[in-house]
Amino acid sequence: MKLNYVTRWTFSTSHKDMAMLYLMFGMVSAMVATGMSVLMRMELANGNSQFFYNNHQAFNVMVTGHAMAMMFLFVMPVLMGAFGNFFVPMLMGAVDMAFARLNNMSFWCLPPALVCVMVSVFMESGPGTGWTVYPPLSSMGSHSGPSVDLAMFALHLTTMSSLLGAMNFMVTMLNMRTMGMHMMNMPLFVWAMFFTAMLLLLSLPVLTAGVTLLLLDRNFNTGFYEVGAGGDPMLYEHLFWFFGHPEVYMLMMPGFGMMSHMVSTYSKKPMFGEVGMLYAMGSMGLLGFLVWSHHMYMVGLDMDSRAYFTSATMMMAVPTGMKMFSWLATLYGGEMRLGVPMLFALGFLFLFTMGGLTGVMLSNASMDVAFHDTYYVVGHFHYVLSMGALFSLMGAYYYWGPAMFGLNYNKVWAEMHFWLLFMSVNMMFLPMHFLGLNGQPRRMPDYPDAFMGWNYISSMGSAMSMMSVLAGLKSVLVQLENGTNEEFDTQVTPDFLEANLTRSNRDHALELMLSRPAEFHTFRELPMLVTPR
Amino acid sequence: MFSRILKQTVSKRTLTSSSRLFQAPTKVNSPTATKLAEVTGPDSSLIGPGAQPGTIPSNLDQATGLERFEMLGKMEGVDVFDMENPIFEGSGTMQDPYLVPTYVGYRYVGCMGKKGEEHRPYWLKVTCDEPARCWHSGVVFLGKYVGAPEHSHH
Ligand code: HEM
Ligand SMILES: [Cu+2]
Repeated sequence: MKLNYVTRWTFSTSHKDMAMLYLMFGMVSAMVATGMSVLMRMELANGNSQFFYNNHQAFNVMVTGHAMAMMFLFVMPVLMGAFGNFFVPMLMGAVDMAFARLNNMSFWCLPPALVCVMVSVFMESGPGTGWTVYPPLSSMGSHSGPSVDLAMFALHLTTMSSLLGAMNFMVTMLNMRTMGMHMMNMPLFVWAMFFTAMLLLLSLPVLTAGVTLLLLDRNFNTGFYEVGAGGDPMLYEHLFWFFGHPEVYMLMMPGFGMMSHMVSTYSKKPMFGEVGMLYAMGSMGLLGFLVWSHHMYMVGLDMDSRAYFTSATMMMAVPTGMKMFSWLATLYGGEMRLGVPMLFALGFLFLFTMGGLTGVMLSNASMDVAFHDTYYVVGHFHYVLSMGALFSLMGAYYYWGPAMFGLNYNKVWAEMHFWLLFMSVNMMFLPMHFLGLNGQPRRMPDYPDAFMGWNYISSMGSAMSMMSVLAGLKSVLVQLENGTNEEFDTQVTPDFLEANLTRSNRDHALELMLSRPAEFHTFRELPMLVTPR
Repeated sequence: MFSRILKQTVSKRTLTSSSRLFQAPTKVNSPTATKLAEVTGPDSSLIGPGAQPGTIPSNLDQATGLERFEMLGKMEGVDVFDMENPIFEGSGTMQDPYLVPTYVGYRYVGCMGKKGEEHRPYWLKVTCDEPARCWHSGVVFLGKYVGAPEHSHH
């Protein structure tokens, strides 16, 4: 039966169709968010007002819109929605997600969220609050008008989407594994999505509570965060970061999972310490809930809390290190192939480690006195996000894209995409560390002339990132328009013990040996995982 | 069935909705099985006992049908639907491959090696035409068509 086009794409319940919708949506949001980042960098390219005509509020509105669109409307939908939806069932031999219609509902919460963010940004003076939306800056006194409310609604919508998605993923993983596949046989990406879903489920309600109280304060005269009414804005910060820190791990964890697949495939070796990787992700998930106040060292926490949060945060480096060394040990002695996904994976290994190192610096409450709210923090989280999450995302696109579309990418454009991105993000974010160490505050559109040099370089990096976006778009376009059919070029996804030509008969990964693109019903008969008697 | 409802409707609860009446207890013919051996077929032997009043039912208390069948099997260590290992024939050599049951002519099989010498899963597309050999443990599989003959594509 052939569905009519509109029916198929609006009411779809197929995990593969939903994944495509998420992917397209994510690409749109990514471009919106990149556009905003370029506007910010243009303003910061030189001292004095360059672009916003001294409208500092407008600059901060761009900060907010950029962060929200990047995290909630690009990275989360693409990692969870697109890759998770497409490959979690496929890697487990499941026929679809457990709740197929719920899947559709999760997705359709997102376009309204994007609309809310955009309307929020364009309405009246916009939300100049940053993605953290701290009161009292975000209270009625400083942000009257509907912008902040709309941003909150956008968060509510993405939260609904993610919660439904998380429950769907967990039930799928617990109940829909194919014959003989036990939890411990689930591939690492599936485990990564499992932990991500747990984090979502446990932390998002806290955000919802926090922002709902803020909405009440703003619109219904309550005073939860209003000192004059006996409230305390600190409550908001705690609620926000109790969600916010797990959120950064939700952004990272799916990428960790995909990294393991890419590194293993392109070193032609099984992943080193698979179970260790799994426990590392588990302990990151747990520790992720115990470190939130490292974002609030400067608000006047007492000494004991700062000591605790410093040591707890430093402990995060242990599982992170485990993962790094396991990837390195997988590379070691392997037969490494520098396919495009592997370039992104190697970029990830190098740059995420840098982000982790600056993270350990920031985790010292005493050193954070100097770093907090400076560009150093901006440098840190872009190394972990723009190079960590983004590189794993792009790498996974090239790794799994041929399986998703049945079309191979053009290697020249793909490598161009990689190298432009690699150079531009480093040019953009490395100088931010120097600026931050010298005291340039974040979320400020102007700075003393002494900071001009590195800011200029950073802004040039941003211009270059525009080029990498264009190269990436061209790469996708070439793939979709005249991507060669997969039998023509079998070198893109090498199978790791045998010749590529045998990919469709045997492989170390189930998703790589299926027909490309996968059939509408992936498995006509359940695959089975056996330890023959 | 219909006459029973009619009778009850007239005699007992003239204005009650039919959904209420459909809940009238059905005749139980075989007692609830508590062991796999006591299952007499897809019948009321697979209806759980339900919880004692005032207690919270366990899954086993209220599961019915195939679910209960599977649970009874699990309690005795019997994999009633062969979910763990549906391969019964062959010894995994080239001469005597493991026969993989399939209704469509091929099946994806993840080999984890023989008991005692397990390895991480490697996937094979096992067809009925040609033996497929795991390139790690060397175990050989061959598809065995078990569907209706007229549906076979071979
Ligand atoms: C090695 C592990 C990590 C450590 C020790 C660490 C530590 C920190 C600390 C202490 C801060 C607060 C700095 C300040 O505001 O003064 C911070 C901020 C931040 N981190 Fe991390 N981090 C780590 C990994 C990550 C990861 C994996 C991500 C996301 C993928 C991430 C994203 C962020 C973001 C977005 C902020 C800024 C939040 C804001 O104030 O707007 N971090 N990190
Ligand atoms: Cu944090």
